[in-house]
Amino acid sequence: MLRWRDAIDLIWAYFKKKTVAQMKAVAFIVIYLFCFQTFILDIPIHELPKIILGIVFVVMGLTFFMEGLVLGIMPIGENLGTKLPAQAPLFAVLLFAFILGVGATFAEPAIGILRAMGSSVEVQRAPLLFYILNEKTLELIVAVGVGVGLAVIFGVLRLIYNWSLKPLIYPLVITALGLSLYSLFNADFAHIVGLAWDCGAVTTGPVTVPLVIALGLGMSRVVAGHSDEGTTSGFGVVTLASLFPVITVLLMGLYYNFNQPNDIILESTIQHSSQLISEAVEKSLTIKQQIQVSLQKSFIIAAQAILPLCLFMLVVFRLILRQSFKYVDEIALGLFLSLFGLTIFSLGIDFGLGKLGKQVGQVLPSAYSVIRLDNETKMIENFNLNHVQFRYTEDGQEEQFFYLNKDKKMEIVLFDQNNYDPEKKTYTFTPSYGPIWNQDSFSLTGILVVLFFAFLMGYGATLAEPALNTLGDTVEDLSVGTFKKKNLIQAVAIGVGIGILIGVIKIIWSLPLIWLILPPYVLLMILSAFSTEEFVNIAWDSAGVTTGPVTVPLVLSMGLGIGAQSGAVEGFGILAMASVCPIMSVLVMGLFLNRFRRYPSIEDFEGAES
Amino acid sequence: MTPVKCSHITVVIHNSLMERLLDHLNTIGINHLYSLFGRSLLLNEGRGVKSLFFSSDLISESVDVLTFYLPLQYEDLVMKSIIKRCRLDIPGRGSIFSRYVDLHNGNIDELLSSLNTDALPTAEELSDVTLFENLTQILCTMSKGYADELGKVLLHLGVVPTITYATGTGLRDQLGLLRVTIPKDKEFVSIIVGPHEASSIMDKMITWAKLDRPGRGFIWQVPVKKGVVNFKTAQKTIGQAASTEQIIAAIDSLKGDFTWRQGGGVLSESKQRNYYKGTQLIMQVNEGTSLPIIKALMAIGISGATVQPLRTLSPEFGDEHLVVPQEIIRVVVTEDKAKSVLAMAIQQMGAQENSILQNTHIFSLPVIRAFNYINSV
Repeated sequence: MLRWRDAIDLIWAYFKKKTVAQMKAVAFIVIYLFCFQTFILDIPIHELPKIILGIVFVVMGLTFFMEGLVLGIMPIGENLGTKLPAQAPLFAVLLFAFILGVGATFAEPAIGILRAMGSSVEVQRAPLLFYILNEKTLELIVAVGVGVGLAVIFGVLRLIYNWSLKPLIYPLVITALGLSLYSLFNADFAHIVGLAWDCGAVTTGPVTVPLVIALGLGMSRVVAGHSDEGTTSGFGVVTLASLFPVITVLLMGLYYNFNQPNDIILESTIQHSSQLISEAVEKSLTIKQQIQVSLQKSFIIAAQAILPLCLFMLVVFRLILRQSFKYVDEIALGLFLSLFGLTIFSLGIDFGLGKLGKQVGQVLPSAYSVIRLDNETKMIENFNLNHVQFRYTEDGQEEQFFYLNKDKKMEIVLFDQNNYDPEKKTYTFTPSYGPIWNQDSFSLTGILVVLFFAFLMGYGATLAEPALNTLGDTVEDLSVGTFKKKNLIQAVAIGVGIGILIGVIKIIWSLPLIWLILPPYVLLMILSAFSTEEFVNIAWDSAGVTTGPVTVPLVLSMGLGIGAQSGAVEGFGILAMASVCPIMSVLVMGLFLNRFRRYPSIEDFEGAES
Repeated sequence: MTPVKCSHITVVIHNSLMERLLDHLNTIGINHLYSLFGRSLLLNEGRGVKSLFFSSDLISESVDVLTFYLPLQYEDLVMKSIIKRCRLDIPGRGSIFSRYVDLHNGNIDELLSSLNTDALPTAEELSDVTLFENLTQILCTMSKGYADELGKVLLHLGVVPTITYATGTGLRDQLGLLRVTIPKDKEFVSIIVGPHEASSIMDKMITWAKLDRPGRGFIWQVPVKKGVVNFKTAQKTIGQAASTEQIIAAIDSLKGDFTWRQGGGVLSESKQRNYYKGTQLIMQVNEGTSLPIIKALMAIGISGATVQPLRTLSPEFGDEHLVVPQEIIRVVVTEDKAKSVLAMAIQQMGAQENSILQNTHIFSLPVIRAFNYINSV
């Protein structure tokens, strides 16, 4: 047995190694956000100490969570995958798969994200979307859940019967695109398209993905191999889980499109006011109280995501299949670490990274247009109306303004009668900012800066995504190092960056999503036809893992910031784009690699001989 | 039970040729197939566009490591027919080699009866295929992440390494839950070399991989009866009428062995090291049963074992597509312990056994020389 000093040395070395790995993963996005806000937008960061604390939490949380995945959650999935098909009848296996899919959806409800994305939706402009988001939330979750359930069923069938993934993808994509095309004829339905494709992107969370991938790997171990399947036969469930929900949600949208009550002009104000109240409450708390509140919330989220699913699988494994694990203590430690890690991680996102992203997102539109800095609203007491001056615009209109001494610089502030309180003699004003790159009201340079920002933010956030890291490890492991994790992550990150960039374009100019979804998916089907089964598996699966807990909050705040500025009806579509583009980048990388690795094929030699 | 002597064939083949190989094996009636995924390395000497995509100077290629047993009398014909069918004589496509092993509880008659001898080409038809004899396999386990470095040096010597993944069991499992702090993933490097260079290459590998320091790894040599070895070591862009590898391959097959390559001047004399002789045991068991077996063996003196999951292949199957997943355990023991460890292993595997007998078996083969830190000091 070891002396305790040696034990501590071992643990310390191990902990250090894992933490450094996560620090590297997170470093890019953190440094980038800091620099962008400080140097390019030139706006100081609020609540800096809190944000730094939050980022430390994110790193710690990721460290523990990833370790928990490897030690606990993935072995549960893999063990169950190897035992279930052999010991249970097919019907029971499929039932299990369905329950798992539906359960995963309820455990990691993405509905909060979707609601936030649609929070700016106005009843008058998109009644159907508003109705579904606010009145039919449960039905929406059920639709997504059924979609994921079907996906796991088909994923399992595919594994057991050795079906290729390609023939499953084509009909699904064509159905989803076909249903989406209906939006061309119905403007109301058009807003549902964004919701549906985003649902597909967000359904697969950081716990579900590793669990489902591990389950697939386990199952592929008990199925006699084929020659042509390559090293990635256990994949595909994640792909299906991001396609099926699109179809179920679109179908649901169609149903409500025809069965829509006429009086859905509801009091949308109630929701908004309650949101404001919670924000105000949050502001009045001390840091310690805030951590407490946030910690509770994070713990509930983590427990909800991990415990029901894992307990369900453990019950099936231990009580129904009557199997036992090789290392029970490791599984227990893993579950504890993942629960602990996910709690700390959510806390850190809530507290640090999310806040930082929110700040940048809010002020980002200042790059190309004027924004109001609501945080810095000030009141001037003893305001003297005599000091307000007049000036003319070029087309002869009168404007009132006064000078403000701000940091020893003279600044012109336009005067608005409504902000003047004659009784108290005070003038309230909110400083405005931007556009940074042009004094026109709308600047192209500024928009380019925003697009550039969107790309690098998508890129950086993806590097830190836990589910993608797990996928990368799994791919590297299965291919015995032929397919390096580093390459996969880079390809996916670039893809996500491009996707988010396109999504931002969609929001700035309010483009209809169908025209952004249709061409890439058609192109994807063509690319897939030319790609090896191996790359099709990896590429389509990486689409499902990209939009995880790091990317989503950042995209959300950026989308909301830009959406509010450009007056978009809804902010949907960015996530959908962030999930289609990586498929393309991975497939393209695969085609390149295979092209350059082309072998002196046997046919070349035989052709020469005969 | 007296052991049966049979030929254990390993085919390391480029992934894209797998379908062709399986097809061929199916026609000649070899159905008990197991494979491991592996990677093979190549030096990247390409220039231009290609170097943009491969920043590193090593290229990894996926290979399948396929194993099966053959009765001794069919070894030559089957091996040659595979070489001819998959054109393994062309460098860069794959290797094939056979080792004579003692199969302790397998059923060789079953192999004989399933073999479809009519489908095999005759000896005359295969007379143009050369099989090299008396080669040596060098195997090395090391912590994950170190194989590429070693591989690069080997490639410069003209030897192509095949790398597979394994998990190590040993000291780690005696630490309790603290074991999670020690990575269990190992890389398994295998090379086939000519008899004249085996000892000096092994010596060099010990130096390069620092195997003479604690906790780095373990290396050993086993005899290879017959084989054809891939020695395409680099990916080049500039085309030639015949690559250097092809010319070497042609001379090899004219001479019938590799010894003419001696005196290239790369290798110097070996250092004095504490090598030892022994026996390698390979057990194929059902997944999940390896741990108690290894524990029992460790109790009687082995220092550790590596475990690799196997993929069961069936070329064309009917309704029976579910299989019991298998794994192989490798153990190297010193000569004095070989008998007792083998007896214990057979006993343990018998005790473990509960289904499909023919899939679990154990075989042994002699280890010419082995080296690790513990035995060297």
